[in-house]
Amino acid sequence: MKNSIYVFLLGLVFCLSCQTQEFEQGRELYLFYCSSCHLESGQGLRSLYPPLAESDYLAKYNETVPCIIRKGMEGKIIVNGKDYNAPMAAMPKITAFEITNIMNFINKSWGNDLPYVKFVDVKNKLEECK
Amino acid sequence: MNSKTYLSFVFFVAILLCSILSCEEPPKKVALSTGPLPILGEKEEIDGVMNYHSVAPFKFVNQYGDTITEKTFADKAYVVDYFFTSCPTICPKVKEQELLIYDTFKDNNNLSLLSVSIDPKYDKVERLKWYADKLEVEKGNWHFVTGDKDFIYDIADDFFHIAIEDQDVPGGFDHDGRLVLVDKNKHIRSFCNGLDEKDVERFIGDIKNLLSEK
Repeated sequence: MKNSIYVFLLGLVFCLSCQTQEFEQGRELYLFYCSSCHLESGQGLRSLYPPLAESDYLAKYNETVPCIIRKGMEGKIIVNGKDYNAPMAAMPKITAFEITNIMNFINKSWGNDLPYVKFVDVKNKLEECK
Repeated sequence: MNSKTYLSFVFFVAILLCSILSCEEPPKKVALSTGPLPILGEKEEIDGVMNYHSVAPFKFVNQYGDTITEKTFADKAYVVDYFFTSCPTICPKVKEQELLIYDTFKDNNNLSLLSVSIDPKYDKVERLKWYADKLEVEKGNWHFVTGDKDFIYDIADDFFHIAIEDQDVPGGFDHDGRLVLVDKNKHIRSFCNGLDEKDVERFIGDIKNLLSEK
């Protein structure tokens, strides 16, 4: 009996020991879909691509992010007082599930502490995208 | 607590500590080059004289509309990459690494950067100027260039670069993320993968090494 407790605890240790990243799926998806422009650190690229890390725009317009990811974006935006005007490509095939994971990763990474988003809210939002 | 339980407990804590400590990957040391950098590419001995691969003469136009030729780099080394401004894949990451090189050698007149667009139809002078400004690159040692499309694709080989127009890849052009170091004698002396930060660190070491050559 006692042995099985230790085996269980040992298993738990191996499971938890290296899991420092909370949103592993979101991180993988972010690296695949987003990081080539916003870069791994979410810092963006100078005045070309805006940051996602500690971005006032992201905080203010968080509920529009599902549509931005799926439909892309064009025109000038101001992020942390700086103008950005490079178009963002649309990703028509990205799923609501993937977007939810990506958003939760972004919202809690690099110093961000924005609310969790729910799959059902993202799905509903996507139906309203223009 | 009997001694057996105690031992198991100690064993358990030891395993716990080991597994937590092993999570931190030790930073890899980058081996920097010492001594003269080799001259890369094919070479051939003709009448007892070694002929090394060298970059053919070229003619481009940069983001200010200035003509850029091999004479622009007559007395300086330069780093060459192939890119395009609307590239949705590897270019921003490579540009991030190039900005590191740019910042490191900003005040050194013996090194330039040459970013050659493989999309000259879209990347005209004004577009390149816009892009350079967006990267916050000041007028000086970094030339973003355009030119004759066939010429750009043909000379890619000389620069150890690959450029292929392909509608099936994102953005429409396939190319590599390599950064290539050319010396003032038109010889290629080093290159790196512009997507690999450690490799770029080694490459910056190679640039310093080359610039210290007499």
